[in-house]
Formats: sequence, structure tokens, C-alpha cells
Amino acid sequence: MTFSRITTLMTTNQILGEINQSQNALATTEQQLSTGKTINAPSDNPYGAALAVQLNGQLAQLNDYNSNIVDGQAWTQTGSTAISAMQSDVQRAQELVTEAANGTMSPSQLNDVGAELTQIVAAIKSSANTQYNGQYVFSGTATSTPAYDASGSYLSGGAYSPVTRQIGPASQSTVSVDLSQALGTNTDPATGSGLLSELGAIANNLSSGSPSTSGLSAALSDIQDGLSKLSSLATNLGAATDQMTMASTTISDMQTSVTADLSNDEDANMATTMTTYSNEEAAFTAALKAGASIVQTSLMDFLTG
Amino acid sequence: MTIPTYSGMGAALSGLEAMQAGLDTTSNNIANASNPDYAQETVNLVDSPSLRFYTGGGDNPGVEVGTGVMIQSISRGDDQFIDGQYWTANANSSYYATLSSQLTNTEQDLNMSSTAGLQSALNSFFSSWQTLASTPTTGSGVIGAAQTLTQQLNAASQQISTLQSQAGTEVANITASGGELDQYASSIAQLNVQIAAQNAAGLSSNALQDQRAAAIDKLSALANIKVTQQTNGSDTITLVNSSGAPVGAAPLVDGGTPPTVPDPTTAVTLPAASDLPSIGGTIGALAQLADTNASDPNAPLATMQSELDTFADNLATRVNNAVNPGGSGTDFFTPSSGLTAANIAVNPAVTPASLAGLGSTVASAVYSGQTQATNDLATFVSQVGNTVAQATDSASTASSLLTNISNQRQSVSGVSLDQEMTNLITYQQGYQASARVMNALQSVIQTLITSVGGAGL
Repeated sequence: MTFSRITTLMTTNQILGEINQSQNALATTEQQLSTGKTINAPSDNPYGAALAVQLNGQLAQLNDYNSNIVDGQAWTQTGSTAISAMQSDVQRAQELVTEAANGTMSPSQLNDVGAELTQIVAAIKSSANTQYNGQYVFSGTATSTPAYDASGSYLSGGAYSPVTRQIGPASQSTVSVDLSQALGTNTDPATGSGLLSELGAIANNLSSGSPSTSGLSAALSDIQDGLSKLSSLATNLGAATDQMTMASTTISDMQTSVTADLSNDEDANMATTMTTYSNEEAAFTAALKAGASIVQTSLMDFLTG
Repeated sequence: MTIPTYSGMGAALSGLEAMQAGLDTTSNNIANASNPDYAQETVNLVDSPSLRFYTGGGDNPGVEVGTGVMIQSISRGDDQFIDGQYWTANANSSYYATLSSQLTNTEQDLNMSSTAGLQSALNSFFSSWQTLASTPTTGSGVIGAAQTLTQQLNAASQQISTLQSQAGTEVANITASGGELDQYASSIAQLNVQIAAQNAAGLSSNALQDQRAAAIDKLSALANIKVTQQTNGSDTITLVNSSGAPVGAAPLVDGGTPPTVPDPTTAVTLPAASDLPSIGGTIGALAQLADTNASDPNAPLATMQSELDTFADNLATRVNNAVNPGGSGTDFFTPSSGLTAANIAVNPAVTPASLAGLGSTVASAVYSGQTQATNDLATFVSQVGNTVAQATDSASTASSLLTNISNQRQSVSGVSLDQEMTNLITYQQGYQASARVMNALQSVIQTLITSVGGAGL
């Protein structure tokens, strides 16, 4: 822009405007340096700000999946520990029944075996009622109901439904098992069926005044069957643990990549920003200096007398 | 015919007077060099009518001898065309400056940085549902997170409403009778009368015109105006919209039809409230910000409010559908109809026990809405960002345009000290020279009187 006349106020306004502009630019860069972000308000970069919202949402989801995995793994590990306790209990029962079936024990010895079997049944039930964080881990989604109540029926007669944890956008992991498959739904020695009911019946029989060893050999195969079912349940829980460990690795990779995207989107590149800052600082100083020398000079300085 | 003895003295005197006027004007210009409302003045000189002498008989046309210089006028450095441009640019600049500063405030109040405020409340809300799916006893966490979220939404909506009503109050104050607009318009109407009177009497009205121009400058920051100057110097000021068409039936300041100038008490007509959003300037910007009609494309805060309402409504609908699929049970968010960001709340009927009874399938179904809700929030953030960025960019463009035109205007009407110093020397030397001429003439006449003075003694 060329002007026919350059007047005093023009020069002052121009210099003021330029100093203001330099100062504004400095303030913006200074904010980027102090916050470490190029997007400090949505209007700094509307598209980038919207992207940051989405990326932050993704990060929050990944964190949620991660907490689910931590929680789910604690469940499966608690379950696995309880099942291995049950396995050793059942194995002990197997040994006792095998010895009793030999027919070499006296009635008082058989009574002792019966008493120990009663304890074992109680120990297995207690393991089945293991809790994690106040929730029964073998009760499926009915986490506030014990697996076996005093009457000995599984979930007080309720149906088992599996507990799942969401470990990815479309992937679930089942962290519970249906213990009644191995131990039976009704554990009452008289009316029930399944491993616990059978062990209870044997214990009652052996603890009675006239213990009988008949039918013990036949019961051994049921005990064996129960053992193998327990180990298959333990395998299920182990597989779930593995699945979650793998998912955890994937999630941590995704967290790294989303965090990198987020950083690219909204973080300031310190090297560039510092360079910009020093350039702007130089421009600002120059504007101030120019202002100081231009405003002071006029024809008056060169007129004498 | 002979040349009068004192004709030269008269010419020298007119020179002295002209140079004196020049010095006075220069002095006045220098004194007002820093006065932004002052328009520089120039002495316009013309030569006086010359005397014709017939130096011979017959066809000899004779000679003309000048009789000096005359001060024709002292004119005001002013360009109506550039003034008009300046007023338009000023209205535009203050319109965008007001809009951008108010919208930037809104943006800050909404607290939409990616790690705090609405976004973090939204993420915590959905996380709490995921926790509920794993641990049914954590219902109180869900209610707490939901309350934080609804409070954030209520507060954001409240902030927007507050800014709207503040803008409404401010624009009402400015345009009220006796308000800023009325004051400027009235002082222009009064100056119109005085200027027309001075002009009719053939007197200079430069100082009054400076005052009026200053009032019009201030007026032009408030609204878009069009100034029409009448032949008697009176100005008619009309409020115009962005395409330059007059707004309202009567002009803001009626300049009358020469030679009549309306009485200042009746010359001012303040604009109707419904016209305010279209007149630009600070008034137009505030009126648009105060506008609560969301279907109006020029109501940025109302649009923002309705976008926030849509976000809240979508979120509530999605959560309620997951929690209460048939619609016959208990909704999570209330109210069930007419839900806005201002009134969204957690249903008091929702308790930790009722949440524990929902089961993990429902909790997961609620959680599955997280992606959509985040996308909705991202859309809202980008809409707000775009609105604010547009206003800020326009404000910076309008402001540099104004600086440019302001410089052009200063180039015409501002005082250049260098020029004034040059003029000062010219006038000073001119004055000295005229005085010297007078001195020379005096000695010539002296000589005449002394030489021939003895005759007749």
C-alpha cells in the first residue's frame, strides 16, 4: 500500500499495530510452550480438537478393557486355585475309598475313613464357595448367591449363567465355570446325584454303626469321572487366563499407538515451537527498536535556529 | 493613468496577512498532531484582482499589476469516500471483535480441553458402567459419575444462557433512550444544526465538523451506517444491513432537506429491537449473541445451546433404551420428554440396588454406547471450535482491513509534522520577505519625499 502523505499518527498506529501483532504471536507460542499442546481450545484447530476427543475416548475404552482384564484374571486365578484344592481333596477321597474297598479294614477304621470323607466333602463345598472381592466365583452371574448353600443344592436351585468380561470392542472372555458339571446340582447324600452326593453317601455309610464296603469299587469310577471333569474345568479357566493375557498385550500395543496419535494431534513439537518462539521474539524486539527510532526522528531534528 | 503610490504597500501587507494565516494554521495543525479526531487544515490562497493600467493611447491594452494575495478559505483535509469506507470497516471490525471475544469466553467457560470437563466426565461415566458389569455392587459409582456428567452438562448449558442474557442486557443498554447510541445520534443532530447555521452565515465550521466526524466514528463502531451529506453541511445517518440496504423506516439521524435542519429533539429515531441483529457493529453482534432462536442461522450461542441439547438428548435416549428397553421400567436419565442439557438429571428412582439388579448384559449394552457418545461429543467440540475459529479469523481480517483504511484516512486528514515544518519555514520566510518589501517601499517613498520635499518650501 502506498500513501501520498505519511502522517505522524499513521506511523504511530502502524508501529503500534505491528508491536501488538508480534506480541500476540509471542503469547500464542508461549502458551503452546507452557502447556506443551498446540490445541489449547477447540478453536485452535477444530478438526484436531474433535480428533483428540475421539482418541481420548478410545484411550478411555482401552483402559476400561485393561481393568476388565485385570479383574477377569483375578477371577480365573481365584477359580483355578479353588479347583486345584478340590482336585487334591477328591484325590485324597479316591485314595481313602480305594483302601476301604480292599476290604481289609476293621469297622472302626472304616468309621475313621467315613469321618475323613465327611470333612473332605465339607472342604470341597467350602472351596466351591470361594469368593473374590465379595463375589462367589463359582456362582455364575448370581455372584451374591453361594455355589452350594446349607441344603447342598447348587445356586439354591437357580440356573447357572456364565460370567463374561469385555476385553475388546467385540471380544468377551468367560471367566466362570459351571461347577455342578463336576460336583452335581443336588449334593444331598440321600436324594442327590453326582460326585459330592456320592461321597456324602459313602461317608454316611462308613460312619454308621455297621459299615458296608459293597459298591465302593463301583463308586471309584464315578470319583475318577469327577476328577477328570474338575481338571477340564481347570483347563477352561486356564484358557481364559491365557486369552486375557494375549488381549492385554494387544491392548497395550493399541494404547501406545493411540497415545502416539493423540500426541501427534495435540502436542507441540518442542523443537519447532522453540525455534518459532525465538524468531517471534527477535521480530518483536526489532519492532520495538524500529518504533523507538522512527517515532523519535522528524524534520525537527535537522532544522536549526 | 498612474500607478498609486501605496499599491505596493497593500500587496506587501496582503502577503504579511497571508503568511500570518499560514503560520497560524500550521501552528494549529502542529498543536493537533496527536488529536485523532482532528482533520488537518490547509490555507487556500488566490491572487487578488489585479489593477489594469493603460500606458498609452489607442489600441494599447495596457498592463496589469497584481495587488497581492487573498486568503480564499481554510479547508479541512477530508475525503467523504474514504470516510465511508472507514465507517463500514469500523462497524465490521467491531462486529467481529465483539463476536469473537464473547465466543472465546464461551469456549473457555465450556471447558472443553481434552483432559478435563465434559469429556473426562463422559469417559468416567461409561467406565463406571463397565465396572458395574464386572462388579454389580458398584452402583453408587455409576450414580456418582452420572451426576458429575449431568452437572457438567447443566453448568455448560447455564453458561451459554448466562452469556446470552448478558449480551441481551448490554445491547438493551446501548440502544435504550439515553444510551450510547442515542447520545452519539443526538450530538450529531445538534452539530448538524450548528454546522448548517455556520455555513449559512459563511463562517468556518471546521472545528464542528471535526467534532461531528468524531461522533460518527464512535457511532460506526456500534452499527453499520450510511452517511449522506446535504448541501447545507447537515448529515443524514441511516442504519444499514450488511448488504447496504437501509434498516427501519426512518433514518437514525434525520439531516432534513436544505435549507431546513430538523430540531435535534425530533431528528433521532432509535432502531426497533427486531432490527438490531441485522445492523452489524457491536450492537448487531450482541443482538445475535442474545438471540435464543436456534433455527436462526445468525444466532451462534443459540445454535451452540441446541447442539449441546441434542448431545444430552442422544446420550439420555441411548442409556435409557439400554437400561429400560421396553420403556415401562425405570429410566436412568430424566425427564422422559423435553430433555435438554439444562434439565438432564439422574432419575431419583435409580438406586445402587436397582443398578445391581440390571445385570452385566444391560451394563455392557450401556457401555456399548460410549463410542457413539464420544463421536457426538467430538462433533459438538468441532462445531464450537469452528464457530469460534471463524469469528476469530474474521475479527483479525476485519481488524487489519480497518488499520489499512484508517491509515489511508490518516494519510488524507492526519497531520504530517515534516510537512508542517516545511510549511513553517515557507511561511516564515514569506513573512520576512513581505516585510522586507514593505521596508524597501518605505525607503523608496522616503526618498521621494526627501528629494522633492524641499519644493515649495
